[in-house]
Amino acid sequence: MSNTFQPRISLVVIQPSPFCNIDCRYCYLADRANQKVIDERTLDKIFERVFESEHLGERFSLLWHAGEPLAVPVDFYEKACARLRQFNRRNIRIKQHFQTNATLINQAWCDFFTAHEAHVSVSIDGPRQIHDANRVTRSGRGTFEQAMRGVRLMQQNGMSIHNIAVLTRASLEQPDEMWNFFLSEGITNLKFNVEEVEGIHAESSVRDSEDRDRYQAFFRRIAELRKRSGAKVWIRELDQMADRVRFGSDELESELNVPLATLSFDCEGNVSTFSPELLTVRHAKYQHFKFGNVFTSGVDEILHNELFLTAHADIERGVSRCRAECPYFSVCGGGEPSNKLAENGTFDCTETMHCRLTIQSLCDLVVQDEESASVATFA
Amino acid sequence: MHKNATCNSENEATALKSNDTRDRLARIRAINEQSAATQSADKSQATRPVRKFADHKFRAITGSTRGSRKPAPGTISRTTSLLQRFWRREVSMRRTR
Repeated sequence: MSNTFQPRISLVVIQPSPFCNIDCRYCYLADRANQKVIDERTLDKIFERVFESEHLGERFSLLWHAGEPLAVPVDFYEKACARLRQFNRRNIRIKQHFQTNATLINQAWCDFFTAHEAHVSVSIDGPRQIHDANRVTRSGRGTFEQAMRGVRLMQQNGMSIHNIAVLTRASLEQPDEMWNFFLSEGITNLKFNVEEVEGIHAESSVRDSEDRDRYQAFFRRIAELRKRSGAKVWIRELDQMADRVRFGSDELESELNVPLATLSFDCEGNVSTFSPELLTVRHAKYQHFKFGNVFTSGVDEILHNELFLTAHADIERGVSRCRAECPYFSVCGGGEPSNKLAENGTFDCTETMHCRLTIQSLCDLVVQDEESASVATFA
Repeated sequence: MHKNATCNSENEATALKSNDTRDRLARIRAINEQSAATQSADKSQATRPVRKFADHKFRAITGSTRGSRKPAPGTISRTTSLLQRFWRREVSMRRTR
């Protein structure tokens, strides 16, 4: 292990059920038709294990995610919040987050989110034709109408909308349509995940070198549209990269590469760390990434699990190689383990399509923009 | 104006030579540090350090440092805007109670 190894729980991801009420064409989860719901005993044990950890700091984020968290009734979360308060004897600051497809949002959910000051992020891919191309029901029908109904209800309840859109080749070709849609809907907090090769999703529409140019052109155009409109819109990819370009350093780390920084629990009480997607992955070399179960061990014991040690050693080697070889390390922190594994078959590697797109091409774009700005300032 | 931004001669990708990426980043950071020194009144903008952890695709909200920015006028309905203002005030009051 490296000398800088300082585990600190930062993000706890709990999967209350693997079930999702819709069936997106690019979904990486194999088990999304499974309707099992986590039971109270398992949830209690998860809370117990998290709060007893020596690696817990003064705060963490709790993310309910994967399948669709709102497929579990709101009563479940009311009870979960009450239990969470009981276990939180150290009065640790916890921000609750929900990542939802928005199709099940009703007034009861809005009341819950409001009462618990929960942060909610929705998944709208863009205007109807783009959204409905992939975000569909099991019978293949688009979910745009249902999802936007949920978004509008949130807005009527005074909630700001944070959105993640998955970028496919089709949406990369339509930046104007994407921008105009989000702006007209008052969705001003935007995140763009790229369609990835991950889990059971073996083919992405975005993958070759041509798409790096397309991806960069998309964000160049979005930046241009934002500037022209004067709209105050946060765009995670652009604004975060600008911060990293201006203020980044080789000290930057990815939460997904640091043991215990991210803890992921499934509804059986299995626990994993690093990328949350790994919890459901099986692999010839690493076998699986369930490094423990809350009924038999504490989360700190992950650090002694043999499967963990093998994975961690390779992740460390991969990050070290990134640090040594990649000029973009100071804006990245060493890549994402799940992408390295899905694309290259090992953690002990450097470049992936994911980093060529989301790090390298964005960095190039922002650097060019910064240089133009500095020329204008100092000329 | 491009309707669709695809890769073409007019809109080619900016590709940095890998061996000068570090230099270019260093130059930008040096300018920012210089700017921070001369604009000490606006430290929040110029010297804001990057969080230790980089954000990632599972960080939908938490990484946003500008998430509370108001939308531009006219981008949302007046009703929504009023509701949002009401809600912000309400949250603010609750926090101070």
